[in-house]
Amino acid sequence: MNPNMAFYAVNTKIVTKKGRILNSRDWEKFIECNSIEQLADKFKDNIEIGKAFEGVTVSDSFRVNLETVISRLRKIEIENMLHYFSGNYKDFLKSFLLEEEIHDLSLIIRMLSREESLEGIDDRFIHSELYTSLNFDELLAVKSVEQLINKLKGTIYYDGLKNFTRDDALSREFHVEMKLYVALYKSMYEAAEKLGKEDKRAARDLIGLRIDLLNVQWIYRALKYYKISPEEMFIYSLEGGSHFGYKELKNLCYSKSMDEFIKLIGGYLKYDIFNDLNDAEIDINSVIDSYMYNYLKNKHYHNIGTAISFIYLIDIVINDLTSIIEGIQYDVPREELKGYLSYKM
Amino acid sequence: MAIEKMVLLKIIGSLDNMHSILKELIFCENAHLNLNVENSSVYNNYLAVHQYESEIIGSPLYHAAIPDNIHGGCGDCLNSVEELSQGMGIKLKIDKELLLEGNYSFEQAKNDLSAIQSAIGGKVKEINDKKQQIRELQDLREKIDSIVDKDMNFSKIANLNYFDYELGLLSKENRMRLKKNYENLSAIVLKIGIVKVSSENLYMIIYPRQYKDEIENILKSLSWNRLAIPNEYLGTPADNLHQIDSKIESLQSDINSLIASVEDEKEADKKELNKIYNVFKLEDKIAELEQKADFGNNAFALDVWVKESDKKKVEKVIAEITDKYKISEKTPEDLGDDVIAPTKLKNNWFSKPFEMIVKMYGLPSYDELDPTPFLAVTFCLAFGIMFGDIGQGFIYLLAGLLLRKKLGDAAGIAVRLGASSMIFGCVYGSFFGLEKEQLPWLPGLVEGGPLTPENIPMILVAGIVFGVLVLTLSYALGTANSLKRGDIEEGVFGKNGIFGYLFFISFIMTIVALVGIIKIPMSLPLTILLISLAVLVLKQPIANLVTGHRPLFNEGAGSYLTESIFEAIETILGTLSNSISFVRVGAFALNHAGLFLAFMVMSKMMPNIFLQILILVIGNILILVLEGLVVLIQSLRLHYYEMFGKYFKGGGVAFKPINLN
Repeated sequence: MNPNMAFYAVNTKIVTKKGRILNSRDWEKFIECNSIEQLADKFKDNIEIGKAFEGVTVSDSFRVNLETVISRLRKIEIENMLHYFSGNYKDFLKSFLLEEEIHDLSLIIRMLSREESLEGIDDRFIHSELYTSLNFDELLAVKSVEQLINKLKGTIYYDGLKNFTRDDALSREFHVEMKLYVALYKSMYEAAEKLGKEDKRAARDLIGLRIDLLNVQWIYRALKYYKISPEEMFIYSLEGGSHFGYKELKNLCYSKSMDEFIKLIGGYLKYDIFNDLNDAEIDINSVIDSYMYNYLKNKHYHNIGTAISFIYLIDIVINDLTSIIEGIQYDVPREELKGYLSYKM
Repeated sequence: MAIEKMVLLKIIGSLDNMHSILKELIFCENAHLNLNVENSSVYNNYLAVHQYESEIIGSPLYHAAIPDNIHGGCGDCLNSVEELSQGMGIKLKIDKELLLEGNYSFEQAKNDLSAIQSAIGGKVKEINDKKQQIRELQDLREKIDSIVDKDMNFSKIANLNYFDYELGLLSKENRMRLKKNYENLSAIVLKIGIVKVSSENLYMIIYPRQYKDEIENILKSLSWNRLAIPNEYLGTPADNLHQIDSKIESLQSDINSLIASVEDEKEADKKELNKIYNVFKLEDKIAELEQKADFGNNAFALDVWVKESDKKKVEKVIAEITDKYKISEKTPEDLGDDVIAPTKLKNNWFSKPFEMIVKMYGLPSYDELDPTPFLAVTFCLAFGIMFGDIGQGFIYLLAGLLLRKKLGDAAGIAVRLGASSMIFGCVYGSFFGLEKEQLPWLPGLVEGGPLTPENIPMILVAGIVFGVLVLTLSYALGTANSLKRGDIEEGVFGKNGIFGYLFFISFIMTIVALVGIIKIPMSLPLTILLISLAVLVLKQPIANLVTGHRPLFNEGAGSYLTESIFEAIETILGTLSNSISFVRVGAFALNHAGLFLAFMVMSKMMPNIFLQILILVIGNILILVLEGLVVLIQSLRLHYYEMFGKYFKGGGVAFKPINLN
């Protein structure tokens, strides 16, 4: 028995939680809502999703938007899960919380680069106050991108951002995201190294797939929207994927057309993740979420993989719920909205 | 038990007196600023402030102050003092006493500072600037020194017609990315130096000038850390190093003469700068507190936690400033679960040092029992049983006493563990490993020493009996903690509550009946075992039934049962491993004697008495250092894993009184 992981307890908790979150009847009700207020009430009625609303008072709900509240679900679930782990296992799971930190840090950098006020920005924060490695109060007191980066000295984020300037923040917004991801996955892999053999394998498998999909997303966006050279695309892509080594990544970055890119991905993953969609129909977030969702649905772990899969599932759920929120806000026809969701009811 | 009782004071006062009140709160060092009260609907500051203001409306003493007028700290002034003292080599320190002597105001301090600045500010700035230049030069020197080929001539490549070059630092990972795509890069990249104590190395990149933009973008994406060598340092790296060294030397001599010129003022300014520094620190702290207060038009409100015993003291301090204030108090119980009261442990001289061990695991939350007194006793017992020796225990005791000032609580723990070890040394009859056989005058309750065949099982069983006793107490504390929180489900029917204990003890008794140590019919403990297991599985519906709470299953019977059956399996495994774990207490007692026996045998093989004694001394040193450490770790393990898991959560917030530091 692993002394650092109450496996049976975690497993049963997760099975129960999954059942509660992915409750078709509840999701049908979400989609049928006519207003954001009604949707918020339906979210609150779901035992698991409702947890994100605990401590959010009525006065808060005017300031904090629903997407932010829902985004905090991941942090809440990870914090709860941490009770069942100790030692290196706990450290490893804590590293997943860095993603929330990166979200908030990117937000601050974005506001600073646009010279917008940081006041009230903490309402949009989603990081775990219990386990954060950053002093957000100090970060909020800075006045410029350069000052902020100076404050990050000694953190895992500093190296990737140290030569970053305000001009860069405006012209290369992706730099922040990708460099922070490099730091995140480096820490995650380092933490995974200290797990037991089986757990390490499961962690590498799942994180590796996640990195692959993030690379697909990144290169797709870079090819489509950013005017940057293939050399830069390659430099920014993430290391440590399961299916894409340096060679594959390079081929993807040097794709001459979107068709070639899609074809290459199909070959490497042995699966057409783009589902025969043409370029105009592709919503890259939904494409990678659907692939991940199907992968997780068919995989069963008897180790730390259970916890990681659950965290990744929550990511997908949050994206789906955000799509529902937006769909209701912009009155998207309900059948069309269903099509955007990775979770098929 | 041993956690200070706290009360939350809401201090409401006029804005006119805010500065003085906050100042006194900082001086009295009794109040912990509350930061989570706003989560509680019970405590509404705005309402309280408005109520207070409505009582004083019409009073000519109050004018409408705008909270924006509150100063935003004195960071700039503090920087100036710090720069001045840094340049003059004066060490600033926080000293409350300096603020208490006489009436030295913020304005006076500012004037004095500008007087000092106009007298010697220029020179000190020059010193600081030159020091900064030296630091930058040293950094540059280190990088240039890393260049392997010291005769490389940069001026030759600096003047090429079609090519540009750049020097810079690159991390290993980024270098790898560059290397993997080198064939597509329109540049040549050369590693020219290995920088010590850095994860980055020095590279030179040479590229056709027409690709400048492209290369710049790539370098940005690689977080390229450009090394700019100033124009004055052209030539080979060897030349550069020489030039830098002489530059540093000349800067240093400038600094020395500047320092000599302010030496006379230094002594006079030392006390004054310290005083100014403390005044600014105080103002800065007041500004920080002001940011946390809530405001009405004329009044402010601040919530602070104080020890119940200090409540009067704090009120008296405020009453001495003004009579226009209002203090209301609430206990943590009034405030409910939303507000977390800070924890301040209160322990007697014996258990106090052990707070360190508890804090390493987690600080008890306010509504929890402080495990320190219990841990202090069981820790000493566990250590003493595993490491019982009069002489070796005395060494720990002595070391603890000698290092008391330097190590604080850790030394206190060493003293207590040493004493416990000495007491158990008397039980085993062991003095620096020697037993009655060698020293017949030794006291001893265990006839023949721990390693005698008839004593071994007894010592192992004693370890388990010790375990059963301390676990019994752990269950009792766990139950008390849960009941204190009003959690009947966990406290009575949970795995760490009464039925959890019944399960544990009947489990032990079943084994006892099975091996026949005590003659009892096995059916009795077995029945209790099964009943208590069933209760553990059904704890939620039973607790709801008893408390009249409906529905019986909070979240559906199916998912509850699946979850609780798995939890029950874990409880069974946990109970088994808990009980066996305590065998180690006996085993280490035997190990302690066994380890010395090995040295004893080795010593007997030596030809003369000096070598024999030497071996015994080395043996004792090894036992003291290595085995002592192992036993300490085992004691920690027993407490953290087997005992704390039963009754201690440790999610407390430390009581940190507001002070100048």
